[in-house]
Amino acid sequence: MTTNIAPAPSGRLVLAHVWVAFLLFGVALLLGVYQVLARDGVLGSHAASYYASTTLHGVVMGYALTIFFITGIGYAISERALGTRVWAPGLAWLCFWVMLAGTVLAALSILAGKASVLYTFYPPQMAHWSFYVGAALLVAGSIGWIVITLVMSAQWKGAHRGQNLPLAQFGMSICALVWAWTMVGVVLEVLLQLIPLAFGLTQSIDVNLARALFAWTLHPIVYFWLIPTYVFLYTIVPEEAGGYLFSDEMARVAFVMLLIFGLPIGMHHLYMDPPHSAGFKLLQGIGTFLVVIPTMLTGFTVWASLEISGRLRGGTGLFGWMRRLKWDDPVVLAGVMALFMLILGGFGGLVNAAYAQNAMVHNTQWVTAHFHYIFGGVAVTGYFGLAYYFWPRLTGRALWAPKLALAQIWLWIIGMNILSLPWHYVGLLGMPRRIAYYAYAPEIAAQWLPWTGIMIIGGVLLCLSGWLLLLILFLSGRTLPASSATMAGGFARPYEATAVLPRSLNGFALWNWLLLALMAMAWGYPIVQFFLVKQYPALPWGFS
Amino acid sequence: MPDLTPEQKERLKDVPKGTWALTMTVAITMFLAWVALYVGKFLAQGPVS
Amino acid sequence: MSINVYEKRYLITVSVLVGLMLTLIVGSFVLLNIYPPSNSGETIDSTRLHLSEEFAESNLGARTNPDGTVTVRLVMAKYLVHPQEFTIPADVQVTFRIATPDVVHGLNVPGTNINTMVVPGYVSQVRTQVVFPEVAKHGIRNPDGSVTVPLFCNEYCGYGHQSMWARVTVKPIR
Repeated sequence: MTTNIAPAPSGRLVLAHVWVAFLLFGVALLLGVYQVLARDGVLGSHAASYYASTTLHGVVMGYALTIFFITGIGYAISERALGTRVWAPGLAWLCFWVMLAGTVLAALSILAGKASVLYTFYPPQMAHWSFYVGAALLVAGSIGWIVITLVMSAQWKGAHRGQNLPLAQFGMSICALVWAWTMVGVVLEVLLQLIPLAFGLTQSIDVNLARALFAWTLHPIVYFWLIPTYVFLYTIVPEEAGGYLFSDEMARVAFVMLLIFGLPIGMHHLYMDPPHSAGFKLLQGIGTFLVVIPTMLTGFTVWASLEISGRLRGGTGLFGWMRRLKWDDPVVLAGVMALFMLILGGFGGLVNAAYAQNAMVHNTQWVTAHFHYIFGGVAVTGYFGLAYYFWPRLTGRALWAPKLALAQIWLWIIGMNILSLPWHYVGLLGMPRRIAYYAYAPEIAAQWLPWTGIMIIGGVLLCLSGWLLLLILFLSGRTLPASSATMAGGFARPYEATAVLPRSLNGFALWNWLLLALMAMAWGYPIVQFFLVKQYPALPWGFS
Repeated sequence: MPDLTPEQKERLKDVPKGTWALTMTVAITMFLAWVALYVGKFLAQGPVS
Repeated sequence: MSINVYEKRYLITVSVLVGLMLTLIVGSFVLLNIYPPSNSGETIDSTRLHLSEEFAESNLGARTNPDGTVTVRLVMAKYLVHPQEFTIPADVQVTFRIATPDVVHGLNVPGTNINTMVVPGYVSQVRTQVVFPEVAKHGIRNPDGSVTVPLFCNEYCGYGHQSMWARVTVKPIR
């Protein structure tokens, strides 16, 4: 596998995206602190503020932070993996501005109190049209990145016939495909249902069709969020740790499985909804359990890669090599911590996915705990690692205070655990999610109160960690020049020599066709039924 | 296979037994915890349909 | 394509564990009749819910059916559960039927598996048997030996969502 020491010609493009992502992230963290205080009654009861805050927090974290960061770092990964410049940088910049305009529009709408419909924007509660138009622009802009990524892959393969597409680019291409397939649901919902209703072109809405379309998006979007972290774990962390990637082929197998098993299974978000039959829900539930496999596989391949590094650095014994990992490297620490958080996050997911067992936890704080572990604990920790890795390569300057970067990551992980571990427990005690404060009988809330108080500490630590990240990255653009050793160095080399791969692990046509068939089976009838069976649409409502 | 010295190959002879022990422990623990919650809390709370 | 022998063993183990979990889940479905609540056949016009006979106010709450089972009919609307209080027996089949005239709600009773979405356009239906010791962990004991537990709206329905709840009194069967 070639080591590419490409310069960072698109540094400004990448940095623009990542700075927007992280600045919005900083704001969202402050909102999170407000929310964890408000829920515990510390700040008095103000529902309107709380729900506006939750909407902005969710929209920024789930859509803006992710889309800006993933597309930006995606350009950096593609350039570095392929040794070529970003294709059509003009298009990339145009899309950046479209995404930014959409984000600003939606954010203003939320801040004005006109869009407190949360990041899942369930109709028939309706926001002001500017919210939906803003969201649509943010998502539409990201299509540019999808096209650019796939064109770069096609061009590279054309120029390197018979060679394996570098793994990092293979992974990011899968990410682009996942996002392309994923966005269809919410785009249809927003363009065909929500925007016409928001503008008064229609007077009612089929809520259950909207929920089905949204559920299409709602599960696979987490793989859009996670795959860049998995690319980080497979192709960057082993090299930084001083080891080798245990298996290039199994990494590709995992990426492909995430694409085809992750896309069709959104109905587990509708387990408790009346319109879908127990039979379809069971099919979807079985599919959801299948997607456990590529996640567990990733755990093995990446840990084995770390084991190589630990043993090469002198570690011995069945577990003793773990002590010899490069714990003092922020990139490696981020990788190890992301893997660790995947255990608890995955466990929460198993319970959510388990068909009727979902009744035990649906819409309780257990769900909130699960996705904070997966999103905050795994995906975002990986984004920190990616940022620390790429910063010197994008700015030409060394990372400012690497020891502080280590502290930042530890703070994040500790804070995330203090916040989210109790969340599981209060969820099992029945605490509903998305409540501004406790208006229930005091004896009920008393069960939850000691835990929600402790969680405030977690929220504060997370906010401190996020702002520390901003400080480190800001100062890193201004200090010492990066060493040539840092600027050189490429992606992880495989432990076993990779033969030329079959087309199935080097290209995407087969998987796209297979996915089309799976999506038709999984979502065909559940969506079409709303056009075959007489439905009674609902009227739009406000949220106050 | 990357160019490894004989000493390095010696150090790596146990790969990936440590990972195997770690991941098997994690997988089995997750499974047992899931069964405990399924039977001990979910089924205990009564049937649903 | 070669796969390391330990990785292969691990994958097989994970697949077997997933298979066991699915067996427990499908077994619950087939042998114990346990599955997530569904009611795909029963649409309803939420904008005309006020004209419904079944969900008329005088018909809401808990009623014992001729066969001894209990049916609870609820209407959930911003921001009240109607009726706000009702009583059901433990260890008897209880069927909840819920409708809404406005937005999406959800309902959940801690200590039970009563949990379902309430969406405009459909009647939600969930059947269960409440287990008294489980429910007692989450409620307040009353002098007569019954337990009162909360019933929460658990889906965001607007600014009053956090105060939308009911009280369910569960009587143990002695």
